[in-house]
Amino acid sequence: MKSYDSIRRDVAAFLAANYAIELDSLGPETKLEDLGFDSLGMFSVVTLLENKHALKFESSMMLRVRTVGDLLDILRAQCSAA
Amino acid sequence: MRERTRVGITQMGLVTPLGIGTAPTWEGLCAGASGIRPLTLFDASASRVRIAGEVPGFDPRRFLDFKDTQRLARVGQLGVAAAELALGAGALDGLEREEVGTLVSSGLGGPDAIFTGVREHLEGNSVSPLFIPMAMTNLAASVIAQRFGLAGPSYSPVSACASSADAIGLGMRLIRHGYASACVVGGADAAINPVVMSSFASMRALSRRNDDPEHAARPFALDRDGFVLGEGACVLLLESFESAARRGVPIRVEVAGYGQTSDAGHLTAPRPEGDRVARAMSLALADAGLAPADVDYVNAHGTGTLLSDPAETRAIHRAFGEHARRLAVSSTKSMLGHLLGAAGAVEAAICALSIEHGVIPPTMNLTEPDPACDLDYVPHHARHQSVNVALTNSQAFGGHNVALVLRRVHAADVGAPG
Repeated sequence: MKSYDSIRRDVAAFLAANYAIELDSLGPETKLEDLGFDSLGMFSVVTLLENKHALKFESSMMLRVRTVGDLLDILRAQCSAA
Repeated sequence: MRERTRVGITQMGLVTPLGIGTAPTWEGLCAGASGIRPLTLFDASASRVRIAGEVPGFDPRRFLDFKDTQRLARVGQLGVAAAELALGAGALDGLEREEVGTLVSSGLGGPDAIFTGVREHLEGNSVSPLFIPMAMTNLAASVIAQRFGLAGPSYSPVSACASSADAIGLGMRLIRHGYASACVVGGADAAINPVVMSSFASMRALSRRNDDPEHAARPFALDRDGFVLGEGACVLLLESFESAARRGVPIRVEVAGYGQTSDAGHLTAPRPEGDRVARAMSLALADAGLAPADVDYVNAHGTGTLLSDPAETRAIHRAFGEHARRLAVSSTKSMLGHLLGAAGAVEAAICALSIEHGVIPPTMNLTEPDPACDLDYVPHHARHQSVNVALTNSQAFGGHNVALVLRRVHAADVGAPG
């Protein structure tokens, strides 16, 4: 069982270091695009999570992510599936 | 026959080891100042070479948003900074963006990104998706086109240390032949990296005067021991005389001629005879419709390596004949170090400034010239002298030789209204 909390912490640290964004301050409806978080940003964080937590993310699924809520839902689903 | 489209420089942005902006760079060069210092970008305490020409006080936050300060390889950051200095403040107003090309080169691209990616791989991890875009040599061209919405032709001609001289020449041709009305041209390199420097040091290309950085770059001197690696960027806006007149923007200096040849010889060593370098200069002069005797100043490639300086001297004799003795020749690498892929554009900008200001920057550290280097290298002090025509040479690893000719523009040339 992967820990959602630890994955969420890694995503928060990534956003803070690379985008100066506080994940905790964002509502689930916030659009990632409005944060300057593009597909390269998405796959950078996905690569980091795959390296650290041995997760696997489908590209097609990640390209459908639009909001902070979408992203967190996928992370949560990965944890319960594992 | 239709008259050929003439092309000139209308804007300029420089980021060099002598400072951020045209003024500090030019003033430093005229004062004989050195941009070479103990290097700080990595811990070089155990390295054979511990000096370099770093851009002093470069803070990417002045030019980039937070994401790009974290994401962009340094070569892209320096390139964007030079572009902002050249093109900010409405410099592109009145230009149709689809008619503006972007030819910004780099010799080595993002070696820091390659270094990081290889380390990730060796640690057993998947490599960041940013590795490819940050390592590619066309990064600066891409981010500059993106930032200013320049939708014309865009690429990065790569010919090692002649790259940005080629970018200028090819940009000029795109305008001449009607493929663009203006072109953002230039180059950026940020190769002060332990892997790159170690390889250059093993090649015996770098000066090891670690205890005396200001005097380490000694082009044409008998006791020279290699070049000093520098970093930086130069971005120029080239445009047709017609386009500049339509916008009411002055042409600062004309880019009048471009010549290219290949040594077709060794991978790194120049042909000692200098004949192919000479031919590049002759082709550039012919392209400009000028004779050797029309040239006042040659900004030499002048790296300070053992083989290159005498070969270039021979080449200047071949190309200019008796006029070689009357020419002023200087190597500004004696103050800036060698900016690799950015060098050609920086040195073309220096030629333009020399024409504008009537000052020829010196060759520093030339206390005792090599007898095989017997030209007037303007040693120690800048020279106040009217310059109508200047030529800049670039010779690259790979045998690529490029010469560009720049010429003063007179009011009658630009079709003053009335």
